[in-house]
Amino acid sequence: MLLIHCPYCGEERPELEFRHAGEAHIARSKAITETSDEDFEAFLYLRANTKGLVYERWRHLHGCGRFFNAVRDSVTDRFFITYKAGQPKPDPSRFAKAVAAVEPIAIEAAVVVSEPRLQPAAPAKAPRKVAAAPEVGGEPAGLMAPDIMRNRAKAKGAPEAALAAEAKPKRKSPAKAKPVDATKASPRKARKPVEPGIAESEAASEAPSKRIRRVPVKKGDA
Amino acid sequence: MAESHRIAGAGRLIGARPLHFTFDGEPHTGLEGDTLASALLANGVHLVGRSFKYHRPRGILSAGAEEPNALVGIHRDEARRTPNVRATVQEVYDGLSAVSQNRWPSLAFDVGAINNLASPFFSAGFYYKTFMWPKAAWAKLYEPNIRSAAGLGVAPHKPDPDHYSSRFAHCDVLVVGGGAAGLAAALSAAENGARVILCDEQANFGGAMRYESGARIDGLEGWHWTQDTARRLSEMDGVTLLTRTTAFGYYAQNFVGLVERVSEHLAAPGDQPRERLWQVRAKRVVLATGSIERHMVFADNDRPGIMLASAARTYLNHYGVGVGRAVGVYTANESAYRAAIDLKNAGVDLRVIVDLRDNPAGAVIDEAKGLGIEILPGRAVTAVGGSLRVRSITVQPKTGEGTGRQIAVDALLMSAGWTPSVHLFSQSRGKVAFEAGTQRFVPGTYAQDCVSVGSCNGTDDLAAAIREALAAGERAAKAAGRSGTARLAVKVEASESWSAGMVGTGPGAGKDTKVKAFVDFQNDVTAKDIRQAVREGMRSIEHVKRFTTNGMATDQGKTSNLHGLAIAAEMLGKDIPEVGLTTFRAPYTPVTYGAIVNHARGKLFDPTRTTPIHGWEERHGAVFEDVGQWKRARYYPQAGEDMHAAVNRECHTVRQAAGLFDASTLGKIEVAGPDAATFMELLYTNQWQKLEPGRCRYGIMLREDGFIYDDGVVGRLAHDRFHVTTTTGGAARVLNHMEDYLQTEFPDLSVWLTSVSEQWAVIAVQGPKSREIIAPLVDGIDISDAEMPHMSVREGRICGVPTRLFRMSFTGERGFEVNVPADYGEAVWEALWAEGQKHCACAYGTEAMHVLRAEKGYIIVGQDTDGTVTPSDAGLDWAVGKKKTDFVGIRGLKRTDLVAPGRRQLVGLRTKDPKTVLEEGAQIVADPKQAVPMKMIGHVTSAYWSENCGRSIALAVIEDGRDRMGQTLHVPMPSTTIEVEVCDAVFFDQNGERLHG
Repeated sequence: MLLIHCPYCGEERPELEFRHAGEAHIARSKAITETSDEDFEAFLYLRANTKGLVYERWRHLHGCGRFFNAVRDSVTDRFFITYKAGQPKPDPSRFAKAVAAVEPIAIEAAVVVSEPRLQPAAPAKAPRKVAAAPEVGGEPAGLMAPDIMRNRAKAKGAPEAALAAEAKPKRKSPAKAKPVDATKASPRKARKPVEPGIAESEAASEAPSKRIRRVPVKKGDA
Repeated sequence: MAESHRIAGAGRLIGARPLHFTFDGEPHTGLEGDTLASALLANGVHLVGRSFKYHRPRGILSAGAEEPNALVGIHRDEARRTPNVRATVQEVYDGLSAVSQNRWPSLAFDVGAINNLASPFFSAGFYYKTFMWPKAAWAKLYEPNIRSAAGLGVAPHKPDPDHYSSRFAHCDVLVVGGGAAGLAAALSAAENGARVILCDEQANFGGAMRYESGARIDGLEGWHWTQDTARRLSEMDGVTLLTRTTAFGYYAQNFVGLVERVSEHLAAPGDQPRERLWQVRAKRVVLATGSIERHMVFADNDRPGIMLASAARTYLNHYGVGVGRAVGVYTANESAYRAAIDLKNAGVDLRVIVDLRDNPAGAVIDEAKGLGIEILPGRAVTAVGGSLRVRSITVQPKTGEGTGRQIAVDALLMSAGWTPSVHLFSQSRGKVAFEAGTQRFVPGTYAQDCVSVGSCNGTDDLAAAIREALAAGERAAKAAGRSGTARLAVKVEASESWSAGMVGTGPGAGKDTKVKAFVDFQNDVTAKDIRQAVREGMRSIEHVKRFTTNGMATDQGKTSNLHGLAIAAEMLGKDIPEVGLTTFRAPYTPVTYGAIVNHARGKLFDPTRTTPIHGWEERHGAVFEDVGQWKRARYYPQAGEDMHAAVNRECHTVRQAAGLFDASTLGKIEVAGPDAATFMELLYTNQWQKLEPGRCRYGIMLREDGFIYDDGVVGRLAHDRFHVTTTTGGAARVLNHMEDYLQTEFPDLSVWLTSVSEQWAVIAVQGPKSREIIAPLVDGIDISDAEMPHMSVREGRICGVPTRLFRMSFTGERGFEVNVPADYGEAVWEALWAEGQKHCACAYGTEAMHVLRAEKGYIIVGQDTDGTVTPSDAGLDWAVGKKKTDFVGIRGLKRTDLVAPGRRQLVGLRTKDPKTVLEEGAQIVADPKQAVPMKMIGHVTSAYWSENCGRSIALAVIEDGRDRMGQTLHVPMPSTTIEVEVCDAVFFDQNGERLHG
């Protein structure tokens, strides 16, 4: 259940108190009777429906009853800002960095292992960054960032391990870091299929970014 | 022999109370603290079910919520018969009755097993390719048989008599998972001043310490340290401990759903709710959800007796049960060796450990060798003997050389490695990252204020996990605004840690084989099914999943996802992360409807709205209908009357004498302010500026696209005050529509809107005697025709209380609508009723109201309109102010389609046979003999028997309706075609004289 900051009440309230009211900043022409057919069709029906930054209206129906606007990331449902009706549309570049922060960050391949470790110490992990809270930055005059935004900007929580990993020197690796978006399939590469099996040996002296090579198990091998 | 496999002195249930339960009618004994699975295994029972598709005999695979096979029905009584309960989760209580599922006539002899023989016809995706011909066979043959064969359990046939509880909870830190890491995080957060909720799905905290025997923390054995820490937490203020509680869903902004099984494990639940839903909003969430062991993928790996190694360890170390007497192990990592060692030390014959790796080495392997366990490295299990129970395994070298060696076993433990539980992390919209070295997905990029600790984060070493958890708990407390200064230190003296393993098929079940090597047990998905999917063109893992249904059963792929992914990746020639992981969805494990629906059942499903006059209506025998959430009197049957008789009498009486009607449900909005008339002009099609105070007008409200949205009579009380009425169902949305325009389009107007729907009770007094009825009661208003003509409003008093009296009519008779403050509604009604009795007036309901207005051709928005009707279509063009420069809908009305010829227009219909009443919604055609599909030129919107007209009447919308007056058209019905004549929509009193008395 979303928590939405009502700019009139000045506090975050649960989604149950609100009603979504469509895309924001769609102006009703002051000379509406002169509008062309195309413009009127766009006014009635055409909506952006962005994946990412969305400008939308909400009404605090079971609260103060006021309509207001919000900027939300439609991928993470994170609200960046809410502002009163009539205030100007905030510039998208204000939120670009925050949106990018939740995109997947490339993970370099982990260290090659020999036999599976019996008692791994701290298993060598690729540096994994935790997305810092979106930096909303200072408030431009006239716009009010919700309190939660301010609190987040102060407290950048990150688990100890990830922070320690971040302190590691950057590896020099010629190969491109592999994408980590595990839910997307990328175009097929021409590769010899290998039997998936246990990670078997390759010398650790190889460049760390190199993929682990698994020896194909073929009939006839001793 | 009772509990033949309970090992004396083993486990933690020593000295527990014995209890009795039945499985498929067979009586057994168990101990308090047993799950059904552990109790069955204690009694040597492995066969517990038949698989979904192939009806293969199945046993218990695991010791936890990831169980895919051991689904049983639990029957408490006639009404409480719960299907698909995991035997590994259900705790045994005295008198528990459990039944196996999906088998007939019995578990041991199941006719459905024929599916196994016919399995070539049931390969992956078979339902896309079969049961298609002949087409006619679908409804009578295929569908009924598929329905009765499908599914696993049997749904209960009585309503659920249990009640469920629900609460919201807020905390600083929610810790999900009460193993070593979760307990450490909770302790650290609590010591730093945070309000903590810690939940675990098991009956006890402890996590992996239930089975790990080699851990030593702060001088205590692992399990004891967890119990001690839980006790410490229970003594702290601000800490809520929840066991038997599953966090099933991670929603936006750290809103997490938990379900607590309150009384499922009790023999006599008494008054307690069955389950409790917790809706938790946490400032910070710590995920300590651990890892789930994977099975090995090899031919016939689903036989009863073949289970996960850690499960066997749990049954031994926690429940004191030996899962077999001649146990084998098949593995690719070390954790299974520990299971073998524990069993051997407990006196179980450990026949062999088959290790897929060529050169396993290390302390635990040495220990196993030292105990005399035979270890066969570089070998694979390529075949399994036995059907209702595993009887033997065939072991072959990995390379495939040589004949296999058969080893007799009655249980086989397997471990292919451990998969971190990233379900909740993934639900939180975090993105997982793939660790190539360990071939697993771990949390990568977070989307919410949460952190993962322990093995679910890929931190396998116990000391590192606890350090990580302590730090996370402290950090979470601080981030939640707590200022504690506690920095905890916990000393791990000994631990077990496992990483590595394998994914995908082993030798013998690889690409060129056709064996049934199960990947997803619950949906009967084998490795060859997944390979077939790729061969048939599925490239994306999403398609492979849906084509094969791998990971789509109630266990959501907990043991099968990674294997399926690896097999698909191998076929596609891609790396695992390139193929991708499917999305994890809430709930983590199945959640009952009871927990979700909770109190919102029966009368509490929806609020019931009643008018102030409801009591009188009830006492006078009204039959009610639901109009939205309102209860409205539909008709008042007198002795011996059915609905038609009652409605006919009511309609007749209203036009002969008078009738009283409760119109309180209609919406009422007060529009007040200097710009009130300007605002009304913008929101309605009508002219309002020149309407005199004291007069009324019928207003039409459009949407911006030009279609009718609502209507209602509006009274102008003063220059700056309008009393606006709306339809009953439209009240809220009309006010919302008005507020939207006022706040965001015309904010400069000085006008305020107030909903007064519930503030005014409305009594319509309609009929020739209406004035005589109200006259003795009204005070301060001249209600003569001259001073109060039709469509006027006056303020005064009635029965001594204030009233807004409207002279208006929805029946076409002279009539009034008496508005009084709601609290006086019933009393004023009673007074009017008493007067009405003197004139033989009746009470009439919504049904008669519908008929009377239809006799006059008055539309009902939402009945005769459907959101695609313009004022002109409805014959209401006169209500649109032609000289107006702007109103909502003005531009929409000019759209080409809305002004084009051929639009459906409102007309009346007279059936050729006056006794035939048309069906509302019936289609109208010009030529009844044309071929199907016919050209439909309109439909019937309202149809009634009219007692006053002595015949049936109907309203309809028909293309160019107004040009068709007198035309004969046809209404095709299933059994006959009805002839109709197009006529004027007004059937009674065409000139409208009766309105004016």
